[in-house]
Amino acid sequence: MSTAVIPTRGGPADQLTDDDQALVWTVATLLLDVVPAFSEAVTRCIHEQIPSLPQDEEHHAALQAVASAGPRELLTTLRAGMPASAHETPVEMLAHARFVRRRGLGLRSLVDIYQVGFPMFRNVVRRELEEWANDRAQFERVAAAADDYAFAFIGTAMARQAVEYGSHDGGWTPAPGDPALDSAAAAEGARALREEQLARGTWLRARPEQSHARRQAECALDVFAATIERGVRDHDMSRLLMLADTTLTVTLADELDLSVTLLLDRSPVEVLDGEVESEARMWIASVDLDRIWSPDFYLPMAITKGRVRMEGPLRKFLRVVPMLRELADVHEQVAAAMPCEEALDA
Amino acid sequence: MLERSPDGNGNGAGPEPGFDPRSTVLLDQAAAYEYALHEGAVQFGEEEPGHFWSIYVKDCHKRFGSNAVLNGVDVGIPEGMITVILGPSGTGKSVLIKHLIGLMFPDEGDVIVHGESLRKMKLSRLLEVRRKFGILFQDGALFGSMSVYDNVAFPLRQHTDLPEDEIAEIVNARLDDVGLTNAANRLPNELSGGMRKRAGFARALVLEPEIVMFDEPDSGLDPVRTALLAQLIMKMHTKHGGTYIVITHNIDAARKLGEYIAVLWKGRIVQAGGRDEMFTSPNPFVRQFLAGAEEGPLGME
Repeated sequence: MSTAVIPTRGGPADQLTDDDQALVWTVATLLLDVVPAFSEAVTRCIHEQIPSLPQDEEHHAALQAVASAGPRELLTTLRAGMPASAHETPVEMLAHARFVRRRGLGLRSLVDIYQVGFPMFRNVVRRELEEWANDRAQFERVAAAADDYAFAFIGTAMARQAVEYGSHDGGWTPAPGDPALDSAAAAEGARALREEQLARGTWLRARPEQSHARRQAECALDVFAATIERGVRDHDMSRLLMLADTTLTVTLADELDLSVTLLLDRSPVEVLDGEVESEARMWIASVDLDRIWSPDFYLPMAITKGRVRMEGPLRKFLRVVPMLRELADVHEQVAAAMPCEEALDA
Repeated sequence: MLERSPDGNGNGAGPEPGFDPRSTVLLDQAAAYEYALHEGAVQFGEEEPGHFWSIYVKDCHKRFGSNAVLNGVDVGIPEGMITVILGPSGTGKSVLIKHLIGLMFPDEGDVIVHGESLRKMKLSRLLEVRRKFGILFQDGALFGSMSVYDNVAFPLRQHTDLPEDEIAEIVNARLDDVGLTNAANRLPNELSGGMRKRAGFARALVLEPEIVMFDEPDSGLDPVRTALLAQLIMKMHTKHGGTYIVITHNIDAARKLGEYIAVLWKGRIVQAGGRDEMFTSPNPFVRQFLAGAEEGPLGME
């Protein structure tokens, strides 16, 4: 097992045993494999439940992208042992909120989308927790803690998205007893997804070691390293990145034995596989490493929230982080060219 | 939770060590109200000074006679972000900026730049540290008798031994950055207000500063040119990296530029945090100020 999970304070997570934490890690790891299938199913379900939503291809794709990003965020942050206080709004959710606003949909429609999508995901998670728990008591403990964690995430993300609509009071924070959580359509959607996938033999693996979660995290690291290398080679970034004048080991918070080291103190700058003695270190979740190129992701804020951990003078690297946004297109090309997605779909 | 003191008038025993006025007894309603407004800044402890924060202002006080201008400013400026220090007129913004670059020193407290205390620094070191800064003054502060090109080249000629051909390469690149290639030979009085700002910006960037400060960059500009300048500032930040600090009272500029926002009022930081945190802040003063609303605690005083 990689690390402890749900380290919230003052909530139900305080009652979790090591065995409970292992259960959360196992279920989060296994569920990462079925995020693509979930995102397809939930997108269908949302369209069925909210017929007023635009039915075109573009909107469908945008919805499916956010239906994938949200669950991936939650499952990955759980695997990385990130506290609920570190929740931030994923850049993909922000992009989706801006997209639907541009398309003329109001905040109410956005809330409706989440009030169908989140309960369906919650049902999927609860079903697997029930399946993998030792007994009913363990299931109830862990499910309550998982709710605590996920409700805080949805509340944070919805409040931020509401601001895109100029609202400080909008959004939605789920709470125990919220009628939206008991949606029959969401429960049925989750049940049908599981049944279909089980019938095809494509539901969860038998053991977490067999899941693609690790490979997925490794892909994020590979794409990160390859993007820097290509930026240095094809986009004359070496001189700029050298302004950092430091060496930095980047370790995945969700797979602690996977690292790359950036040597930004030489010309040309170099990227080495693995952990090499360096001036500074950073532990970052794979989902955040994928976002480091986005103008909506602020690494310093992720550090102050405890989302990313650091050691040594990381400030030197932070100096050049804004420049990485210049490589956003390169990152997209590199990610598309890497065989990661094929491996995950296999 | 704010509570009245035991005698109902706030005249009970004095505060205990570790007393937190926001959570226990307060002297009167006015003080209670003020503390309720004060959320403070992100408190993120560094392993060593300079490991995370670009600049850290520690409990900074400054008085001019009986007038307390800085009243315990406590705020970190994160490295690699555009920080907007936002506040109404006459709230201490200009005095704070002078403290950040060591042109003025606090009566109490300290300013730490990249881990080094400005207060404890020898003058020779302070002059070196000031070279980390590029500054865009309100009016561009260009030399009236020099062409735009020579204005931008000035810091390179003054502070480096670079040959003229290398200076030309750098100056032309910066003029290109700010869209003034065709105005290189013009004198400042032949430029519009927006062009003068851009020329000042090119000059601020020419020594590859680690920290770039903008003192009221929107002053004297119409809303369209303010928006264009904001766009240019963001573009240059992405291109050159580093820490950008924008001091302004313009909420639109803060909305567009602020990745990290510190709201200054009556000589101290009401709240500082990432833009997400600030734009979802429940603090009534911050909400009123960022929304530009008439209703709220901020009046005409």
